[in-house]
Amino acid sequence: MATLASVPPKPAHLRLSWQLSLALVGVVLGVIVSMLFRTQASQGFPLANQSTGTLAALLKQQDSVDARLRSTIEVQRGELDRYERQATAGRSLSRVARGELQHFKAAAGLVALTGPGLTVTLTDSPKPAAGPVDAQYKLVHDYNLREIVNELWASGAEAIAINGQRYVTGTPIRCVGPVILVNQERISPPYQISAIGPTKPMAGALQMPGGVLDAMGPQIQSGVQVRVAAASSLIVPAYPALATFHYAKAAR
Amino acid sequence: MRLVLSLLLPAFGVAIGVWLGFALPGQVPSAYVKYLGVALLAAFDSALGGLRAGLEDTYDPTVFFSGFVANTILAGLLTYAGDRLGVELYLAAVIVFGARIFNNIAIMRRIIIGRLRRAR
Repeated sequence: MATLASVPPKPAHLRLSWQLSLALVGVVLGVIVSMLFRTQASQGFPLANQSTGTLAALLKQQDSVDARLRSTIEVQRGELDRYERQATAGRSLSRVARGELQHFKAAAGLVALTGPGLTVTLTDSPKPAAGPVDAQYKLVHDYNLREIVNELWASGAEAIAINGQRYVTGTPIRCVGPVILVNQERISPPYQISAIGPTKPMAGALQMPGGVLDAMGPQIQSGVQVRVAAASSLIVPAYPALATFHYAKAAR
Repeated sequence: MRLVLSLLLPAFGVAIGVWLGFALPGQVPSAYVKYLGVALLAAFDSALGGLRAGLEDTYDPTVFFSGFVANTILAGLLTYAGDRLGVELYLAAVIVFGARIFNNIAIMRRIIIGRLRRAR
C-alpha cells in the first residue's frame, strides 16, 4: 500500500480516490432511487397492493362522497329548471322549445315520472344455499331482472326503475358477487322493479306460459318469491346523472 | 471532523444522482420496478460496504467496483429468474442485502464511536 517507507500511508477514507469512487457510486444510487420514486409516485396510490380491509374502508369513504355529490344533483337540477323557465318566460316560441326539451328529458330518464303500472318484487329464498349449484335456484340473479325488464319494455312499459335506479339507455344489470349492479349502484334483495305502463298487458306478458316468470319455476320451487302487483300510481325516479360521451359524437 | 469532510464528496454524488434522476426524461416501466428495487438494495449494500472498508482501512477499488456491479446485476437477474420460475427468489436478495446493510451500519457505528472515544 505504502509507496514510500518514509511517508506513512493515509487512512483510506482520507484518500481522494476512495471519496471519488464512493461519489460515483452515490450518483448511480441517487439516480435509481429518484427514478423509482418518480415511477411509484406517478402510479399514485397502488390499490392492488392494499389489503381487503383498507379497500373496504376506501370504498365506504368513496360511497359517502358519492352520496354527498348525488344529493347535490337534485338541487342543481331544480336550479337549471328555474333558469330554463326564466329564460322562456313570456316567449311563446321558446316555450314550445321548452316543452320539447321536457319531453326529451323524460325520454332520457332525466326527470322523475309518475303513473299507473306494475311492481315486481323478487326475494331470495329464505333457506341458505348449499353450494354454488344450489345457489342457482335459491337466489334471484341478474339475468332474472334483465329478462323481466326486457319483457316489460316489450309489453309497453314507458319508464322502469329497479330499487330506485332509473333504467336508462346503457343501464347495465350485472351480477357482482352477492349483489347486482344497476347503473353504478350495487343493489341487494329484495329487488323491486317498478314499471309505468299498461298494467294488464305487462302483467300478462310476465305471466304467460313459457314466459319469464314461468321460466323461474325451479327457483320459485326452491323458495324464491316473486310478487307482481298492480299500482294505480307509481313514481319512477330520475337517473342521477347525465350520459357522458368520451368516444361517441353526433354523426353527420 | 476530517471524517465528515471526507464524506462530503460522496454526499454530493448522491445529491447529483437524485437531481439527475428527477431531471432525466422517461420513467422506469412499471414491470421493471421490482427488479430495479432489488438491484437498488444490492447497490446500497455495496456502497455501505465501500464506506465501511474505507473506515476500516481495507478499501480496495477493484473489490469495491466489481462488487457493486456484480451484486446489483445479480440481484436484478435473480429476481427476474425467480419471477419466470414462479419462485420468489427476490426474497433471498432482500433478506441477504437487508441484513448486510444493518450489519455494515452497525460496524461503522462502532468504528466511529471508537474513534470519538479515542480522540477525547
